[in-house]
Amino acid sequence: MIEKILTLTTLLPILSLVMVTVNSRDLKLGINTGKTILSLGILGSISALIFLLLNNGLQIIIFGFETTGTLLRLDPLSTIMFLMVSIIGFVVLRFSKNYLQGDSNHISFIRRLLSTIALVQLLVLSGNLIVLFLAWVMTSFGLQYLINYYNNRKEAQRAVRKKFITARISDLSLLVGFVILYLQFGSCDLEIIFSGLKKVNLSEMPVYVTLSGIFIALSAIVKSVQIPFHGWILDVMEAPTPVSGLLHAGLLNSGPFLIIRFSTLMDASGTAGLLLLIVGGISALYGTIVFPSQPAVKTSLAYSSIGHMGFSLMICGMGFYSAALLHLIGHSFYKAHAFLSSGSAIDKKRLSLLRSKTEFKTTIWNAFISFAITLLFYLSLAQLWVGLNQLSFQMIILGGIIIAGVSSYMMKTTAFANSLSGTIKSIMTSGFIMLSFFTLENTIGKCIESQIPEVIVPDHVTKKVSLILLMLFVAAIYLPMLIKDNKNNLIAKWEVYRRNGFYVNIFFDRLINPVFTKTTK
Amino acid sequence: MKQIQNKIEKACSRIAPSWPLENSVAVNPYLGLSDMAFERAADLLRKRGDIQLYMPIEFYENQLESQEITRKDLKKTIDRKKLGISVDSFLSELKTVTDNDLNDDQFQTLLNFVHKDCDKDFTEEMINHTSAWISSYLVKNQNENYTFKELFQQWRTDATIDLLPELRGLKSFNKTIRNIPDDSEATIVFCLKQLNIAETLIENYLHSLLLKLLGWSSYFAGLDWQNNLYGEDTKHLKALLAILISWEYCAMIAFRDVEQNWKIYLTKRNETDDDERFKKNFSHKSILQDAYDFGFQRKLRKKFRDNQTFEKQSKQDRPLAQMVFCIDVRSEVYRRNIELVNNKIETRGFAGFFGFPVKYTPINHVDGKNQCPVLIPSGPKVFETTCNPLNLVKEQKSRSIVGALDLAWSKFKTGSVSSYSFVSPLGVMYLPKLLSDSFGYTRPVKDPKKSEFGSIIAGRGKLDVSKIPFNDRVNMAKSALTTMGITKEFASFILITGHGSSSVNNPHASGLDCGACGGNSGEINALTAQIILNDKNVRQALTYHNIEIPDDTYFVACLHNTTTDEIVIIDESFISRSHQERFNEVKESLIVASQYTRKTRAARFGITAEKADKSLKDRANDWSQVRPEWGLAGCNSFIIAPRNRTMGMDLEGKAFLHSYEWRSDESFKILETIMTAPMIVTSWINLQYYASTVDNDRLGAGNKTLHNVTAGIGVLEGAKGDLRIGLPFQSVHDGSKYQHLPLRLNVVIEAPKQAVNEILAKHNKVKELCDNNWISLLLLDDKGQISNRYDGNLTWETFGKPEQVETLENIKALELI
Repeated sequence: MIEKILTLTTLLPILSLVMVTVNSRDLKLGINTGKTILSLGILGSISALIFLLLNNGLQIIIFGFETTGTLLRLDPLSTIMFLMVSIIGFVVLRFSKNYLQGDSNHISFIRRLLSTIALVQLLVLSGNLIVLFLAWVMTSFGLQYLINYYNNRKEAQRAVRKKFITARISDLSLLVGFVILYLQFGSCDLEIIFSGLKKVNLSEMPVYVTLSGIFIALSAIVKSVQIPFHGWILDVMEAPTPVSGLLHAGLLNSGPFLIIRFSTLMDASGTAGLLLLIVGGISALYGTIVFPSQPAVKTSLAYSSIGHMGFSLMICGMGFYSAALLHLIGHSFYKAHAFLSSGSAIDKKRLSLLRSKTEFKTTIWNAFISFAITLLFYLSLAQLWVGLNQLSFQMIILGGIIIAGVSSYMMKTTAFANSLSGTIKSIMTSGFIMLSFFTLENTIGKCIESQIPEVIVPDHVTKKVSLILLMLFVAAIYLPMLIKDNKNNLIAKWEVYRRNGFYVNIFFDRLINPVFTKTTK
Repeated sequence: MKQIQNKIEKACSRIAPSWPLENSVAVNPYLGLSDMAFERAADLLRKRGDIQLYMPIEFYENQLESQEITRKDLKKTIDRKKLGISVDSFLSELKTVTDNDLNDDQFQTLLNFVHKDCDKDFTEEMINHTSAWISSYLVKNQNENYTFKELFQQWRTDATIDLLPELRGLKSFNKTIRNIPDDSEATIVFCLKQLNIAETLIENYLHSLLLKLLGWSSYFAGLDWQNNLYGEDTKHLKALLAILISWEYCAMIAFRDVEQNWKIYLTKRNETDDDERFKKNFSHKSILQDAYDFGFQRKLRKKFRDNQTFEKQSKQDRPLAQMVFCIDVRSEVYRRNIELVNNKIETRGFAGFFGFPVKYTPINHVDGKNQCPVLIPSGPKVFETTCNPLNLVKEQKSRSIVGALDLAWSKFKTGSVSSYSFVSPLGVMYLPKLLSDSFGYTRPVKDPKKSEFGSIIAGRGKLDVSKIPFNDRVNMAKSALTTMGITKEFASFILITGHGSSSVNNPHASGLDCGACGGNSGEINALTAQIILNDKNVRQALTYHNIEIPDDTYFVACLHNTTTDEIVIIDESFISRSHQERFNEVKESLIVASQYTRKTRAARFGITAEKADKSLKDRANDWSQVRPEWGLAGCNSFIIAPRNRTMGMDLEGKAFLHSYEWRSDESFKILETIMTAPMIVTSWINLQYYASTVDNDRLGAGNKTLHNVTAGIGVLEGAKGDLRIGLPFQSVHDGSKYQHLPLRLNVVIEAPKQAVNEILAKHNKVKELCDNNWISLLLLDDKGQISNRYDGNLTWETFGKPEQVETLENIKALELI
């Protein structure tokens, strides 16, 4: 019985799509219906999640007909994503109500917004290659309509054009990947494919596994704005703020989600993982280095998203899917808030003036102490949770990045505070961050245990690449602190290039523009 | 050489200043052009910067249709301009006029030329690239770890490295930049010569160039203005001009082919540019706009006629309270309502800093905030302090620790790589925040006002005015009271009512605060006034100036929240117990008046009166609200007269009101102050709204839903482009119609003609504004009727005796004219 009721939850996105088309005249009614459906989605997915977890996450609720096979599925992974998308959708919809009030096309905005949200919900619930592929393509069109909302803006048109091309690359790649899978397993049902994959003898490294893995990984890479496919996201600010909110917190996630969904395949196809690790790692570095140099709030957030998506994909590449999902969820809520509250930047500026002049005179000494304390936190928590000897390679790499970041925070506070309460506060904060990381990573890991392969010891190449990346990450934190002299020519150059996003976008434009002039002419 | 320099200065002086959004000040965006007639300025701005000073023709046609502009108004305008045509022929001509009649005579810069000849649009590239570069420069400059060169020199250094212009196709950009001088003025002179700009064209050319990046030009003009006010001479605008002209020079080097055509163009331009023929469309629109203004004056006169002047009720009892409000148009609605609620409460209008132009420094604030109009430098300094002075050091230290922790935290959150260490473990914690912000229970970031002076308002701290020398305190008190017109017959309570607004997540929030306080909320000024005017020693000293304040008169600082229309009394602890009961009566009246005011205002939002209370308060806490309140939208007149002239009149929250009684103004000193300060400020506000209404694309901030805050200073519309100054489209338009109508300010003064003339003759800048139609001056006669209209050059037009218009026959009769 419960199962049947919960099955209905899966139909909500379809319901809201229908509502959007039927109920398109009245603005207020449209918004209210949208809110109701999304609230039902939130409640439904919470109950489904509880139900699934009570059954150890092993049971999967399936919606489909005899003739079609599985269409949609509620498993812990899809339910968590569905819940997240519903919450973000709800908040963005609420925001759009007053934000666009009086806009001549408000109703059509709401319609586009609701249908895009519904399509993302559909995407995460897909239990079948065809549904997944269609949702994948359609979300990108939904988004395109949203970006093109003010279609008289030249910049918006340019963004749409770039996005159109990039999205088709992603679609094509996904299609190829899926076709290979279908040809191999003779079924579109994800469950059949996954269980089929588990039976494959991996030591043989079948070509189809490698190939489909690579194509699916590529599709995710393109979809989640990894270098050099990131150009269009820098122009999405040509659409109202809620569009950016939904895009950065909802749609971009589909890349890492796809990878986690197909984690069995990724693990089986070693090259795909390596591809994700390298491209994700580079994009993560790129995004994180460029974004603080951007003076405009939304532009800075866009670069930061490139980085975060890269980071998630990079962790996927290491085969640490639960951590990737955690990062994905955290980033969604964080970024949705950051975009919707981007108007508060002036308030922030005013508050910053109340801080007097603060300089952190960090020394090697407190850098060392901070590092030691953070490391201690990490080690003791690791001992408590899993035991030090059980600590996986991936956990060490990720831990390394987190330790580096947190200790950079602590070394500032201890350098300044010269007050006991301040120091204690900052140490406690650092401890809390560590604790929170272990707790949440573990919780998520437990939740989606049934949907992802176990964390394995990575191969030699992956290990090497991961270590190099870790070193680069640490360097990206600490090197800028050492540089005080901006007169140096090399540094001046670096700063100018960095501000321009290292011109990657322009090269890509050049590549893509001729294509367009041809197609439009 | 000297002449060229003068021309450069002149071009720079054409740009009006603008302030950063943290304390945005309404400025007349045509400030540099008030030496010329409105029509002339309109023509000039259109040619040089594609800026419109009139509405689209359709707007005026609608006004004609709805009789907002009558034939009589038109006739009056035509006669006044001595055009010698009939209304009918004007109207029939109008049918052939369209908005696009002239777009071909705009001044072309070399980059425009390259665009036309070589089909490469580097103007856009220049705007985007320079705008982004300036933002970064300003951000870095705020960061004390970097030592940066002066604006132009830093740009030049960076431009020799930057690959972007060349990647986009501007050949040998880096090399060309290396060849230009290192100094901004030298660069301008050098490039002018290289570009073959004749001396007669210099101002025209440079002004056109500055208008290409109008937003940042205005910002730097503002920076220079601000520095100038405090005795520092900076030349940021000139540096920007040097940057812009360097681009032009680079384009010429890269596209040598255009040079020939460019030279021919310049010669031609040189011949035609001084041609003052106003083109067809322009004279039409200027007539329509003038007639539209006349139409409004007609209605205003009627309003005064219909208002049975409340002769001041025979000197009865001493009023219970006198409330001094800011002249701000939003006070008008409240004043009307409080007078209605309790006739023992009198109200007055006065500039919202109440004559106390202080600079307020919160604990640990880097610089302090100038709480006064930007026309004058701030005077005495006041400080936030702790209740017990011994705790001050402790408080400073604890706040600086909190501040440092905050800063370190935000660096952790938004730093390279460490943002990953933040998001993985803590990103999920944003879920509750996301929801509570969405429902309006919390704000995304702390309210800056609360941090700036919240402790004083809450009584945890207090305002320290002790750094103001005693004599200054007495003098400020004296001049404030005299200008307010409260020197005798003091009520028991004198409520000094500052104002501020409340909104969330609104980059333009400070634009809704008090303009007289320099884009700040008025609490601090009101409190300063309260402290000084309640001081026994000050009062003692005032008696020597014949101002005797009774012992039982209390000055009480309040704040009028213009978003929710609540009035908060900041501190009432000093009111003696015996007076508390009478004070309670005042407070009760305030509560009722607040409700009434909300109901009155609700109509403008299309909210029913029952929902007014909740709905207006919700707006103040809604992070998605783009119209928390209407601000000063609609402002159209400034009335300088005793309150009884306007009492009971519904001025729709669109009139500035300054209390003024000329009979007690010896030698018209007060009037002179009013006409040279508040009148200028109100005109600035009015013209800012005017500009944002008639050309929101160029002089307004554009669409709020696309705003992208940059450098913590201003907004971009979308991802790229120039800094956007002025007001967002949402601030003047409600989605179906304009909430601000393009009317030039009507200043109504009750004072003898002679006195007004003398003041005008003395202050040329003010006279210019009136002579050139940026302001309309009207006079009130002894009976409180509008009797004269300023007609330029110290002459006045007298209105006949009240026409008996508006009856049906009369309208018909008028149609026949």
